[in-house]
Amino acid sequence: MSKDTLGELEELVLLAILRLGDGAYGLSIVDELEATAGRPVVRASIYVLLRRLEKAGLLESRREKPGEARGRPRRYVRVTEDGLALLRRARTVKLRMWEGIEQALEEG
Amino acid sequence: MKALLLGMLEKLLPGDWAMDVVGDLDEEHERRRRHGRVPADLWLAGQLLVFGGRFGVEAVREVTGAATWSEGVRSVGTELRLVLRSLRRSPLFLGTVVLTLGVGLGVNGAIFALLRTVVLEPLPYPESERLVVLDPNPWVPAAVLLDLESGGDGVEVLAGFYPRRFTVTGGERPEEMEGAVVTADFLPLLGAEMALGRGFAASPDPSREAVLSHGAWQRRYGGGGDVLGRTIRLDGVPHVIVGVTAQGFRQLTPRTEDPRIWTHRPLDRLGEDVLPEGSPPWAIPLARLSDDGGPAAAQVALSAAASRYVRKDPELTPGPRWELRWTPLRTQLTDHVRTPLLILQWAVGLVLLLACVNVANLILVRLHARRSEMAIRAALGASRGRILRQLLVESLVLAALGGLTGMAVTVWGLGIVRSLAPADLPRLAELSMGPHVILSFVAATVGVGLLLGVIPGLVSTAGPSQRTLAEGSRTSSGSRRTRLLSQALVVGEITLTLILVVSAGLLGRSFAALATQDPGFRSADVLAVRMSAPEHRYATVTRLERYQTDLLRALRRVPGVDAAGLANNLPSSRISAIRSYVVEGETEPREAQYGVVSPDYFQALDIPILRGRAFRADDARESPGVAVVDEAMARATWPDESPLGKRFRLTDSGRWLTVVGVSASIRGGGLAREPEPGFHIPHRQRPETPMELAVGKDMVLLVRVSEGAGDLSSALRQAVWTVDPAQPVPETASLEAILSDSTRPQRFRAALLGIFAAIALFLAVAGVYGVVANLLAERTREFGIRRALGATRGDVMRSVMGWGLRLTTVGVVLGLVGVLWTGRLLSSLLFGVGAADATTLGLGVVTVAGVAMLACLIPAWRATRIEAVSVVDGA
Repeated sequence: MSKDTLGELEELVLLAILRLGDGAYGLSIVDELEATAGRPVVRASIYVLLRRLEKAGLLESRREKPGEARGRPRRYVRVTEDGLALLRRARTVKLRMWEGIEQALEEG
Repeated sequence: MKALLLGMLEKLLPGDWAMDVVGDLDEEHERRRRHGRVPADLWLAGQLLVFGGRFGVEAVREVTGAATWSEGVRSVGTELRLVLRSLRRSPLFLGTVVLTLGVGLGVNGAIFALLRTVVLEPLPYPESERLVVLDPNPWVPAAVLLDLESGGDGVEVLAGFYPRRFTVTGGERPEEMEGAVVTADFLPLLGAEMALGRGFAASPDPSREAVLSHGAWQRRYGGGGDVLGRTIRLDGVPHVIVGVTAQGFRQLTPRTEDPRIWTHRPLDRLGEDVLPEGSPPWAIPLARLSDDGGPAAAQVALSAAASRYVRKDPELTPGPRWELRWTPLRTQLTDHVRTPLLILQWAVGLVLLLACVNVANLILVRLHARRSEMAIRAALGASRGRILRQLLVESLVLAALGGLTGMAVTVWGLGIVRSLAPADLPRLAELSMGPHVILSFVAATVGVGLLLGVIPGLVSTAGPSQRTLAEGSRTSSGSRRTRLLSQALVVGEITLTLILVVSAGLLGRSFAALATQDPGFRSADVLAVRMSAPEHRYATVTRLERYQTDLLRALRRVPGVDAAGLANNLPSSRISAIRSYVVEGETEPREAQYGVVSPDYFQALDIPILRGRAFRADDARESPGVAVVDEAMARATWPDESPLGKRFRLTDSGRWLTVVGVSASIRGGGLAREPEPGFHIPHRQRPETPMELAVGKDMVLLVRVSEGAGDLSSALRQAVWTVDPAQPVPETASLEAILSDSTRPQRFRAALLGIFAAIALFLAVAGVYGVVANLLAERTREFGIRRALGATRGDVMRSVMGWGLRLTTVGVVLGLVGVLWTGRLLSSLLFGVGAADATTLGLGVVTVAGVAMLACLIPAWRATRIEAVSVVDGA
């Protein structure tokens, strides 16, 4: 299953994972989205998305014992090369579209 | 709660991410428990709904291939419309499938509800899994419990009780009420909440206080709020009512029959009102084990306390009686019904499997008829997955409709179960379709729908569509794969049906053997009146004996009474009184069943006196001690000589008893037990010991009535009240009904399995007929050609029946293997017949094979009517 474009939430999730680095797992991704993007999320939708992105090859995951009081292992995720490529493309398109618009926003 | 919710989530979510999601939610739950504003469990319950819904939508999206949620819904909606339209055009198919699945799912629902309520459902008490009682004998000396209480490891709470049947007076008529004397923490241990008032724990002197059950309060006091503080006389002693338990509370413990009233005593005095003075106090303990290492430590402490008790008393010897064991309360209550109920569940599982096999065959046939349509769709671009999806939707719709029908069957089935079930089946009053049963029902329905969609669909959509199109809609051989699967399903049906029919036959013969056992005494036209003389009014053995003699005289005066006798127990329950005796000239004690009876006892029950004589009116206290032994005891004790004139005495009495008569043996332990040694003494020669007084109050009056005398229950009760108006008299019952009731568990099992076997036979007939008819219809051209080439009708009939016989033979052989294997499950329930009984096996084989061949007969006869001309004309 291959993807050519990213939806808005997919893009935010991938960005959150990059921001979190090695510590990216379901719970921390939700916290990051709520804190940094200022966006309330439906927790279940994030997990559905993570699963879909993994199947699409944009993410890979590994299970690790967190080494704290939590009994069950955590599933940490990281963005693959394919995922990075899609992110770069999305960024390029956005920057191109934003070019020359800032002034209109300020004047409006 | 958290564990339950997380467990449910783990089951709902797809396997690859389930554990991780649950782990994260567990972590978040902990965070919220420490800091959250909303209760963490409530938040988690909300997440269960959200995750279930969201992942459910994702699953639909994956199945339908829709890119978005709305696309997925539209796709499923279209499929549903097509399926409903198609099913409406085949009402016979729809009706047959819905009814078949409804019956299969419905009987499963009813039996699972029974299994769940009686065996699987936790007891309705807080932390019930930690509640324990003693096994196999729940009684123990109070001294052992006091030893445990003072230093028992592993036990968090130790309470005790003593079951009682109180004589309640003060109302219109005296009545008997089941109750229990309990320690202060007993009711709190069972989580008993009070609808009114309080329990015993808070009282400084609770010895004259009583707590009523909700039902007893409603029945006796009309539910009035002024019941607290009122006096109720129990065995003549006034008690003040201080509390009423909440509605729905019931005491489910060994040796009790739903107590309605509780009084209080400390642990070492629970039975002081009924035990003879000076006897060691006994009690039934109920304990809650502690969480950490409880069971092991508690067992060690119990064994040590029992050892110390035995060592202190020189008359006691260590042995199996003192190997006490804690066992979970739920196990103790349900152990004896677990195996029979699991067998019933297995049987209905077979019925459901049969129903699924039938429906699978019907679906295969229908798919085969639609194979051209599916081939065209495939040729026009529909993927195999798309076609399978439609078949899956169709089978889920059929399963859903079957499930709805099944719900109605379950509700109706629960009514039948309630009417047939033995009254002492634990927790029968709680039987209902609870949320767990409904959830399991829905899961079974969905499972059946998936199974019936996937397997037939995979089989019939395999292979390239071009071949199907080239063959055309009229084919001479049909899909070989479909045919083979159909035949395999027919063989499977015959196998399962034979297992069920033989199992039902074995249980039925078992029940018949039990019910026709000669108990050794007459039960027809005999009424039994079980009662307890109020102890406070008959405080000595002599007064009790005079009272019993007066009672018998009064009963004999009732018109229609031919004979009236008295005994300490029902003849079929003589085993509940065992006494040790020593034969003159011997030192080793023996044991036998013990009956204390009036002279007319043998006459009332038609128990023949084989040698010597029965008791006479002059066998009184002042006369020499006499006894009538039965044949079994005579054979066991004096094998080579006549017992008449021989002497023996009870080990706790110095009086010698001379054998004056030998009676026929009776089944004193119920119909299922062989007669065991027993003896009788005259009721006027009952030893004058406190023990005999304590047990002597309980008696059974046995009255033989003339044929056609009508219902004498009321007249007999009145006769008792002429002697003592304060004597509570429960309902009379015919001895026949009591004996019949004792076989109710066996009747229940045999009846249910008989019903399942009948359903299975019906399903097998319908299934075999349907498949054979259809497979033969496929071969119309073939038969026409054979007739054209000179085959006679007889040849065609022989060919078809021969084919049917081959399938039946394979099914029967596999079925016999299955029967021998399942015979091991059934053997513990059988009486008078072995699990491999040749007659039952033979009858079962003949029945099932006969039914299967009969189902082949009509299609075979139709096949002989095929003429070559009609086949050629149709070409």
